[in-house]
This record gives sequence, C-alpha cells and structure tokens, in this order.
Amino acid sequence: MSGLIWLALACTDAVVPDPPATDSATSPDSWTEPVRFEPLPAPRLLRRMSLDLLGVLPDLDDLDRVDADPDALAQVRDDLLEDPRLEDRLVQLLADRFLTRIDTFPLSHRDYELEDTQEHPFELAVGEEPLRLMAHVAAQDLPWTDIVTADYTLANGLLRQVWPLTSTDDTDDWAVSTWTDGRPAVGILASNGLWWRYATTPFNYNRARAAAVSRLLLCEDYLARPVTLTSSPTLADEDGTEQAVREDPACLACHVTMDPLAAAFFGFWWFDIYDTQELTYYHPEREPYNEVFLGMKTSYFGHPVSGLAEVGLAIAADTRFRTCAAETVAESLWRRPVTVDDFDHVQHLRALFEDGELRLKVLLAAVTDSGEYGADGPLEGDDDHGAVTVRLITPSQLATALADLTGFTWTTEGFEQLGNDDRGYRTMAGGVDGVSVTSPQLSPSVSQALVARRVAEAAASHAVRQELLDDESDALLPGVDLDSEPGDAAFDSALDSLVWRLYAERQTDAEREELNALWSHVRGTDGADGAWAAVLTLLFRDPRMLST
Amino acid sequence: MTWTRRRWLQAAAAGLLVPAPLWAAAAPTDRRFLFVFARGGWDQSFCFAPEMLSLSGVQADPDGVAAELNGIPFVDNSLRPNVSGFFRAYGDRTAVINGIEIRSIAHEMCTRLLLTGSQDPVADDWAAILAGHGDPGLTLPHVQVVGPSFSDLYTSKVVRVGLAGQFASLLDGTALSASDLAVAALPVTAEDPVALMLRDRTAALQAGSRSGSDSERFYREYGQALDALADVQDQSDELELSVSGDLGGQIELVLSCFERGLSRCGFVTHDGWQDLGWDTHGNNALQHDNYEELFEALNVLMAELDSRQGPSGDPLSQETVVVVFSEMGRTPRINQSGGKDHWTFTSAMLVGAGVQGGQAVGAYDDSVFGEPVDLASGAIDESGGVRLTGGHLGATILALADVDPGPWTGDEGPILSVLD
Repeated sequence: MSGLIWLALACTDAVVPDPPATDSATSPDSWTEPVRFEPLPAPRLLRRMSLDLLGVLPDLDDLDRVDADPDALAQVRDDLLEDPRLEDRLVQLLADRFLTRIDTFPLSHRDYELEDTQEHPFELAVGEEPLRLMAHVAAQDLPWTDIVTADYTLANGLLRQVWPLTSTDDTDDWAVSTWTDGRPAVGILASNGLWWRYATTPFNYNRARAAAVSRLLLCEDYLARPVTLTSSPTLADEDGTEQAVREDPACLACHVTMDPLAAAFFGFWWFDIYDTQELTYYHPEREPYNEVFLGMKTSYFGHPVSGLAEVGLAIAADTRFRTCAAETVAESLWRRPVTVDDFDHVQHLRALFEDGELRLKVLLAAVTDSGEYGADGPLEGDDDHGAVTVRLITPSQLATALADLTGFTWTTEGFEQLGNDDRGYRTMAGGVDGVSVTSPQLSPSVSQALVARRVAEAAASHAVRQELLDDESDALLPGVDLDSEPGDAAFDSALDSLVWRLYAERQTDAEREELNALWSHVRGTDGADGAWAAVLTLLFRDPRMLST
Repeated sequence: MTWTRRRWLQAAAAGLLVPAPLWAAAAPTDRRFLFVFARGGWDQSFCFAPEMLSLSGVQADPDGVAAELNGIPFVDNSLRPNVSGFFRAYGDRTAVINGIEIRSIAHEMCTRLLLTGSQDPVADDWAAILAGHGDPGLTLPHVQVVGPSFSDLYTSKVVRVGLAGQFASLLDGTALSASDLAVAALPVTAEDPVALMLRDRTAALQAGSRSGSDSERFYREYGQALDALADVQDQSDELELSVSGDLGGQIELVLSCFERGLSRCGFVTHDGWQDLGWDTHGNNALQHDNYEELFEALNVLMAELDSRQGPSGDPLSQETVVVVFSEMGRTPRINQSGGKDHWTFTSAMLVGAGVQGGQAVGAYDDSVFGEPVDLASGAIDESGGVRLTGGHLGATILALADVDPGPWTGDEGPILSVLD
C-alpha cells in the first residue's frame, strides 16, 4: 500500500518526505520483552482477550480447549481476530481514544427534522462515523493508512438520510458509503463526525483540528507543550495574537507546523456553527480561505502539499503515524499511557506492524502476546512496572457481554443506558464521555458498583424470563427448568458451566454450596424463578465478572 | 480596625480571648470542600481585576466601576447586585487569587492543569486527593455531580451522581422500571441475602489475593463500595440525591451529603446564564449575566452553609471551603465577533473555613499577565516572587486540608498568606 501512496503522490506537484526505511535495529526479531510478570492462567487470559477484542466472554469450548492445552491460546486469539464482532468492539476501543462519542454536538436530530425517537441514534451515529471507518479498515485487514486515504466512510441509514452520502448497500446498517459533495479522499479527515467533535472557533482557524490530528494520528500533542506568554502587549486581541504566532519564536515553536496543517481544513470551515448547511456539507470553495485567515498555504511539517488530500497521504507516509498506531493499540489494551520506558517495546511493535503490511490486527495480536497484557501480577518481590494487571470492565464491555449471555440490552426510550450520560450511566459505570471524563476508570467505585447492581439484576431478570418462564432460550441454563433443584444433574452442571464461563475459573465446592444455599433460601420466599434471579444477579455482580 | 493576619497572631500570642469567627472552627482534617466550576473561561476583567478598568489595552466591563468591599477589590456594576452583595456579606471570608498562569489555551488542557497541576494524563485532581486523605469511613467521599474529573489512585473515592437524577433512580430501582425491556429489580427478600453473600465473596477474594497486588486492591475497593452502597441505601429516604440541572440544584445535592457527614468533597458546574456557557467567543456581554447568576447561587450557598449544621452540630460554614474557579481567562480585547478568546491567566476564589479572607492575592500587569507573588506574604514581588499556577492553587487547597502538597505539586507550594 505504501507504494500506492507514493505513486499517488508522484502524480502531484507535492514535495513530501521519502518513505522511511525500516531500521534494522528495530526489526521484529531484534528485541525481546523482558520477563517481568506472573502470567495469567490461559483460560483467564483468553477471557481478557475475548472481552477486549470482542466484548464478550469466551465460549465454553474455547475455555476448555485452552485449559487443556495452553498453547492453543494463540490460535484461539487469532480466531477472535477474525470474528465479525471484532469490528463493533474496535468502535468501542477507539471511542475511548478518539473521544468522538459525546452526548452533544453543535447540531441535533431536530436540525434535520428527525423524530425525537432519533435523538440518541443520531448522536451515536455522528460520533461513531469516524470510528466505524477505522474499525472497518482494521477488521477487513486493510492497511491502517486507509484511515487517512480512503475515498469512503462508514454510514448507517440515518446518516445517509441527512448527510450527502450514498451507498451501494441497500441496508440501514453501517456500510461503506461515499460522500457526494466533492470532499477529498482522506478517510476520517473527511469525516463530519470528527470535525463536529473537534470544531473550531472563529479565530482559532482550525488550529484545534490540527492539534487533534497531530495528537490522535501522530501522537504528537501540541497541547502538552506549555504555553507561556512573554510580555507582549500585542497579544491583547486577535490581530496581535495572529501577529505573535507568526513572529514570536515562543509561539512559532508550535505554530510553524500547526498552522500550515490547520490550513488544510478550510473546506470544513463554517460561518455559523449552528447552521445545518454549514456543517453538513464540504465547502471546496473555502479551501483558499487559509490564505485569507491564516495567511498561508497548506504544508505538512515543512513539506508543501497542495491541500487536504495530500495531507492524508503525507500522514500515511509519516513514520510517526505508524508508531502512533502502535502506541494507540498498546495503550488501549494495556490500559495505561505508554512512557519513555516503553520505547523499545513500542519500536518493536512498530516494526512488527510495518512487517505486517500495516494491518492493525498485527498490532492487536502483538500486544495481546505481550507479557504485560497477559500479566496476573508482578513477579514475586518485583514491582509492577506501572502495569495494570486487574482492570475494571468497561461499560461497553459489560453491556455487550451481558447482552451476549442473556439477550438483555439496557435501553430507555431508545437510549443505550451504558452508552450515554444525558440520561444514562456511562461515566457512572466507569466509562468515558469524551469531554469531562476522557480515560476509562480502572478501579471500582460506589457509582460503578450501583450501576453494576442494577444491570446485573436487569440481565438476570431478563434471562429468567427468557429461559425459565417463557422458555424461549436455554443458552444460559441448558436443561434447567423451574422444577430443577440443587443436586439435579442439569442444575449442578448449568451452574458449574456458568461460573466457568463467567470467570474462567472452576467453581469450588464451597462456592457451589453457597450458591445452592442462596438458591434454596430465596426459593422459599420468591419461588424458583426468584431464586434463579438472585443467583444470576450474584454471579453477575461478582468482582471477577466486573474485572478483566 | 481590620483584623490582619499579623494582628490575629499577635492577639492569639497575647492570650486575648478572641472568639473564633463562625467560619473557621473545624480542624483542617475535618474540612469539606465544594468546588464550583465556571466552565468555559471567565473574563476576569468583569469581576476580579478592577485594575483592568483603567488599562487602555483592556476592554473590560464597559459599565463596571472599581470598588472594594471587605478588603476585596472587584469590578462593581449596579446590574450585578449579587456580586457586590457577595463581597459585602462574605468578602471577609474570601481570598481572591489573581494572575494564575495556566500555561495552555485549550479548554481540556487548561482544565487538567488547573485541577491537577500536571499535564500527566493519569493524575488525581485536588478533590480526589482530598477525598483520598479524608475519613476512610465516608460513604460518598467525593460527590462529582457534573464537570471534569481526573482520578487515578483515588478513583474509588469519586462518586458520580449524574445530572438527570441517575444515582437516585438507580438507588430506588426506577432506572429498571423505565427500561424498554421489561425487567425487575430483586425484591428485598432476595436482595438482602445476595448483598450479604456478595460481600462475603468479595472479602474472601481479597483475603486470597497477594497483599499489595492489584487484585487485592480491586477486591478491597469493591468491598468498600458495596459497604458504602448499603449505607446510602439505608439513608436513601432522607437523602436528596436527585438533582435539578441548575447550579442551585447541584449545590443542594452536595450540601445534603455534607450535612449528613457522607462526603468530604463535592464538585458542581455552572454552564453560564441559560446554559449559554462562559466560553464567550461570540458575545462577551454574556459574562455579565454569567457572573450575576453565578454569584446569586454563591450567595444562596453561603447562606445555606451558615444555616445548616454539619454532623458535629456546628454550622457547615465552619468546616467548608468553597473553591470557585474557571479553567482560563479571556483576552484583554474584544474580537471581531464581539467576544473574547482564550487567555492563559485567570483568577480563582477560596471562601470559608481556614481561609484568610478579605484579601486579593496577586494581580495583573499592564499586559494582563500575572504579577509575581511572594507566597509567604501574598504581596507582589517582582524581584523574588513567583508567577502563580494551578499547582500553587492546588497546594493551597491541599494545605487547607492539612494534606502535604509536596507529592502532588512539587516545588509549587501553598500561598501561605491565604491560610488562616
């Protein structure tokens, strides 16, 4: 794919950097991760992988397989990477990084005269549009560079109804769709969802967007550089500020590269942020406004490019983009920021990524192979090296895992209750709202425990109705009916299997006796269905269920 | 005669029986902290910096006049009676801190820097640290009603309640009855044994974990959360945990927790007049309405703190510090849209228990940059002073709680003159 990028660039007048040669010092085989952690037992590592990659608990066959043969784990993990549920799960993982799934955008469903029932679906779709494109690229094993070069996006029926998009797929589900308003082929850089989230103010001139692109795609965070104003009265107003960012060395340190990048985004410039037409459509006639407002043409870190389309290509060719992909996957799965101590490891991941034709699945596999990812804890007597060896399950993981187990999805008036904060419980459950809370919670808290209690009760209630009262499923409690009791083969087997599935740990005799006692106690007051609801609620609230 | 800090100390040394002021009785370790966040960036020239009125390079409140009440210089405007009313009534308990340098002009980073003193993406904010150093038996150590929140070590102390009554609806189970799929909460006859067994299981898992490991910590914190939930459930009939979205409603929720001794910290957010925000790029006149509405709520807050008792039986004002802040300031001059853009210097207010009131520390120079300050005296010191930062503000807040700020703010120590 890199060749295609350079072929495309050769058709332009752009002067862009040569593609970097792979450094032999960071070739995939030249680095070995030090042994620093006690590994998780294979079934529990599979559980962590399955929740991270698919958002569901592993099935019993796979648990049994890796329990009998831990070496089978690599193949099972590879199977997970080919599972169609990976794409949805990547949307969630990337949401916590790109922070586009916010509750309020400049425009709402009403601006498009949609019914109020579409409020939440509209917000979700807008925030997910760039994430879906990235997840599609990863799941389809396309080169990661496509996220900034693709001539399409992903859209569902709702977005295609209100935005200038078309698709050959006759579906309301997410599908490859093409913009019809002439915007450049730059993947997520042409995404309404990204630019609604990362808007610009009238005198910011797209700099916030340039900073976001640099942070999200190159892992170069302009905002992490302190802004210390020198004693210059010219900074008092926007004219003075504009002068300073062009002349003051302290300002130029960032603006000399940020502003020419910001210059690329004037096709997404708006004059009224609450105007539907302004935000819906690309405005190619505004591309030259960069010279009016910023006084400069687009360039990419010192290399002139002709416009946004070539910015996408330049990012794709930038070594930092690849390193950043490695950091993105590592941070998402290690659940911590990478530091300078991770330099060698990240370079190793990048080398693997390049060796694997820039397919994200290579990184997903490499990170899940790492000792830190599979850690149960530090080696005896050693420190934890900053690793997070027990992680709180995220609200999206909890939602999809329980939906997969029981069929229960928690919505209220169409709002996914673990996926929003206007009415729901996303940040209370430890999630990210993209604005006030920007990294997932790692430890339990009162509000998280309260959400877990209610969602456990709801899922248990739903499962009991489905499996025992309405007899519409026996996926969770096979062979069990309302007459089953402790000591019956089906009863005992169902509970043993369920505990194994939920925690990837075998139920002990003591635990079995406890559950039987609870079941028997509650049956006395609330009947067999109530007893099962109590047992399932307990199992779903168990801290082993709520951690990975 | 004005009671200066020096005079106060002299009097105390002389053994004079000076009655403690109403607002300064609680020991630092018992103090509670209410953070009031003006989200979006306030214009300091409309309130805290009357010196800007006379600066030709600054377009301050056009109808503002320089005033001083109870030792607090501020920008008065007859159409903002709640601002002057606040300083008239509570200026002697208030320290204004001017010229705080944020070192960023982006909302997210400014908020992080002001609330944690650090760019580190993994850090605890001041409220989380305070909650982590408070009574470990508190049920809801830090009530985060709405607004930014950063936590790492003390995540388990942060209790989010939601702006639409989410915590209350979860607690009473109505959250489930509203579900699109018909589901039911467990009846008490089932919930009680489930809760008991869950607690036992969690304790057993903790006991079986290696001491000091992530597992041990996870199970311990989950167990604590379960205990706290049981406590809240027991008190749910008396607690008002649902909240109306306005600032007054948010404050009421926090006070309800404070007076029952459930919480050490609370965090509320003011999103401006009619929720139009403080980020007034397009119409800076909104700053006028924002300040008036904010201070109206602050006046009510202070009156409530005086009239309501904490668990000790003393007025809440004796044990509560109110921190009022905004993540950035606004540029000196109006832009072409009639608004003002982001400025990397701002102001904050500390009010209440342990605060040496009646003073404004720091100032803005002619370029609207922060003047260097001597931390001990609070005086402007252009030769040996330091520019105030979010770290200094945080260190001062932590010092008010008798928490050593060193591990959190390093060399950026507390502004001693603000400490009573």
